[in-house]
Order: sequence, then structure tokens, then C-alpha cells
Amino acid sequence: MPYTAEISRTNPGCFIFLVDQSASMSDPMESGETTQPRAEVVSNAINRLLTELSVKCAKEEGVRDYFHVAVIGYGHNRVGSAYQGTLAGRDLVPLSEVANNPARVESRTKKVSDGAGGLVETSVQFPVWMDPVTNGGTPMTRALGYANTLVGHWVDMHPGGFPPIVLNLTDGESTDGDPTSAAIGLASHATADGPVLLFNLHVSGSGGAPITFPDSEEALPDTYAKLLFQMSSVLPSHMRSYAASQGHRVSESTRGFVYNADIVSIVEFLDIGTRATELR
Amino acid sequence: MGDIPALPRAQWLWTQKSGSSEQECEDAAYSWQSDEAGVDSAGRAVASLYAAVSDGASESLLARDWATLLVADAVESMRLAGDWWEELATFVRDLMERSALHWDAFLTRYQAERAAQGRPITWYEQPGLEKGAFATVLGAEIRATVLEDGTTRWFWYAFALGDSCLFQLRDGRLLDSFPLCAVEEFGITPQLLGSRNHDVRLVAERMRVAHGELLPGDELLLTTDALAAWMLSRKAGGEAEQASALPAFAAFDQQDFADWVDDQRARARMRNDDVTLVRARV
Repeated sequence: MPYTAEISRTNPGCFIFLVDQSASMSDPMESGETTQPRAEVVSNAINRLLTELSVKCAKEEGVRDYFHVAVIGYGHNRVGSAYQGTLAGRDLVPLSEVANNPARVESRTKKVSDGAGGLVETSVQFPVWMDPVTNGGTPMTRALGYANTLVGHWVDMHPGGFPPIVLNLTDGESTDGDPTSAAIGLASHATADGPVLLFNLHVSGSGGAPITFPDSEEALPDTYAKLLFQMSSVLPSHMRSYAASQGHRVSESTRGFVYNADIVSIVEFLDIGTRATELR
Repeated sequence: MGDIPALPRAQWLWTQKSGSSEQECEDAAYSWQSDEAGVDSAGRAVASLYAAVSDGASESLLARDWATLLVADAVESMRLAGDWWEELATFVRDLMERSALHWDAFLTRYQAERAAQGRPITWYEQPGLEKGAFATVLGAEIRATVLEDGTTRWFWYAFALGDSCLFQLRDGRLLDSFPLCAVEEFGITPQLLGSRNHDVRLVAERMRVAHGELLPGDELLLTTDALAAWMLSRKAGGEAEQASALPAFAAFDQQDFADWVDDQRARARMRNDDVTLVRARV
């Protein structure tokens, strides 16, 4: 059965985040009672996910390298690592190195329960690996090609492992041509455990209700949404079960795709799309 | 009053999951027996062997330390309470208070040692430390009781929280299992005792207790989940599999056990996990 390979330090998982850094990512989206630029919401979500992964894989001796992670930005004239600080310029980085090298650790306030029905503000440490960048067009085809190279090397090195997972977060149409063939090329790589997974998330431009993890094109509003749907892989069974446990309606054709995502569905997309089989 | 017969010795075998080092094994086991006979609540001479196993949850920090502490505290709480199963809530309170006290002292020492090594607790460890460590715990007492007519009878009494299991074997065949009876009962979210859980009532509600009688020659096995699932899948495997002899664990040393576990894993008969077995034959 595909997508059941054990994830261990000798057979680690591979996550590649592709982050749209085009100019339109500076447009605002609702974030609680205020608004935030889309790029800020996305970079916060990625930073939080890297934090959660590090915490999840932390043991007494440090963070275990159950995963290698790349964060690739694509925008004006540039496709490449979005890491900042010590990791700047690096592509796939073992999780222990990620955890030990945030660009900075901010102190942020968070509201938590006071145990008596109220909320109190408390200070939490918030590591930052990437900041929002917004500039120029959306070279999605080049970004998928960049991921294709990383994935190609990875499956050569880990032919029996869990296949790489590529998560693409964008708010617009590709400005460097139809990305379909690049997506097909990317998903044509496979390990013995199955083909590479490509999940796509489209960040809200209109504010309407998000369409999360659809299993057909029917409810999608336009050809662009349908294109992203077609580019997205079907969710493996363990992610499907997890999505169902989080209240999503799923079927065997459910794809790793969210259209018109709000802040909540961005977090859910990352949570479900990076859900691992059991770590050993 | 008749003489107390010699208590059996507990045999402890374990191996870590494939791909981990020995130091990373998060199972723990402990056994203890008194050199002197005691007296039960009915005034009869008794002697007991106590044993416990615990499986630390891999997704928690310091799970191995918590499991190690729990097995020693479980044995201590059983030993000090006498007929501990009679008042379960009192037993659970004693175990939880004892382990919480030891855990707090351990954590203070651990954090001081880390600071002294120039490796203070990092941001990625802090949430795990705040959440606490989690582990299953299974404790058992094998008790020899000398009756009024001078004969000795053997009983076992056990408690369990989670999916570590006890098996009673007679003539090499499975007679009883506790707390799980079928391989389908193994879930991915077993009951666990958390180092920061102080809800005695909840834990007492979740804790299972059982007992049985042992005849001379009977064996009692305490195992963590991978071997327990192996035992129960064997039971479900039909007559032929049930009738085939169990490995001669009595003759195994650590290496034999590790080799046997490796072989079972290679045949996809056993999950890749830490494996612990405590065994005693009366």
C-alpha cells in the first residue's frame, strides 16, 4: 500500500514549501478583528509550522531529523530559498538545523485561558525563519521546476522512503506560463512508497467562503481554480482520516487543495498536508 | 504456619526499536522481592514478587525517565499498601503523589544539570516539558500465601493503565491476558499516565485491575505493546499457531531476545517498537 513507509531518522520525510512572494501578496486579508497582508499571514503560518514540527521532534538530545524541510520563495526575478539568517540560501535543511537556526526568536503576546472563564495575555517565544516578501509576478512554473530538481535528488537518495510532499501556497495565476506540465513532471517522481505529493493552496482574494479539500471540480468557480485542483494530488489515507477527524467531509478522491483560503484554512492545510505516518 | 516456598526470580528482557540506540529505548521495567515473609490482612504468611513495566510515549520529552520512575514507584506503592487492590483509589493516590514528588525532584535536577552543561532548556523543549511526559504502566504482584493447612497457593494481582499486557501461560499455552484480550483492541491512543496529571479520580476510573491463581509451573509475562500484540495475534492465528511452542524465553539472554525480535520484525509479525518482557515462573 502506498504512503505507509515508516518515517525515521534513516528514512526521513521531506517537505518543500513553495511560497508565492508576488506583489499581490501584500493585499490585506482578514485576521481576527484586524487585517494583515496575505504574505504576513502565510509567513506566520510557515514559521508556526516549523516551530510545531521542531517541538514534535524534540527529544532530550535535541531535535531528531525525522524531516528535511525547504522553504522556497517565488516572486520578482527570483526563485530560491526563503530562509533568512544562518540558513539563507539553503534548500533542504535537516529539521535539527532548522530548529537550532531561526533567523531570530521574537517574544509575542498570546491570550490564554486564566482558568476562570477569562483570558490573560502571556508572552511566548516565536521563532522566525522567513519574513514576508512581496514583489513582482508569480513565476509558479519556475518554482515547480525548482522543486522538481530538489525532489529528483531526494528520491534518488531515499528510494524506499515516504515520498516528498510539496506544498504550494499562492494567491494568483502563474505569470510564467501554464504550470500544468511542471506539476505533472514534479509528481512523476516516486519512491517505492508512491509518487511525490503536490498540494496547492490558493489564498483568498475575495473574502468568500473557502473550498477545502474538494473531491471534484464541480463546485470550483473558474478555470484557474480547476487548474490548481487538477495539479493537486489525492490525499493519502492517513491524511484523509486526519482531515475527517478535523471535521472535513472526505472521499477517496479528496485532493490536497484549498481554494480561497482564509487564515484558518491556511493553518489547516499545513497541518493536514504535513501530517506524518507514525514516527519511529 | 507452613514455610514460605522460594519465590520465583523475575527475568527481564528488552530491546530497542530498530534504528534507535539502546539509550533511546523508552520502555522500562522493575522487579522486587522481599527476603522475608510478611503477613496478609487475614494473618496468613505471604511472600511476594512485584514487577512493573512501562512504555514511555515517544512523542513526549523525557518519556524514558518518566517510565523508569513509574515502574519503581508502582512497585513501591504495591509493596507498601499490602492488599493494594482492595482500595484502588487510595492506591492510585499514593502512586500519583509518589511519582509526582519524584518527577518534580527529577525535573529540577535535570534542568540544573542542563544549565551546568551550558545547554539550557530551549524553546523547542519548553512546550514538551510543560505538557509533561506520558507512559503506560502495568504492575503485578505474584503472591505466595500459606493456608491454615500448611499448603501454599499462588495468586497474581495486577493493575494496568494503557496497553502493556500481562499473560498467564500454562504448559506454554495462553490461559489469560490482561487488560487486553484481542489484537483489535490495540489503538494508537492508549491510556497513558501523564507526569502532570493530578486527577486521581479520573486515573482510578481508567485503571483496570485483575487477579488470578497460578499453579506450579505457570508462567506470568508482562510485556509492552509490540510483544503483547504479537502474543494476541498468535492467539487469533488459529489452532496450529496456538499449538506451536512459544520461544524458550527462559533460556534467552538479551542478545537471543534481540535476535528473535529482529527476526519477527523482518517477517512483519511484530511492529518496530521498543520491546520489553518481564517473565516469572512459579
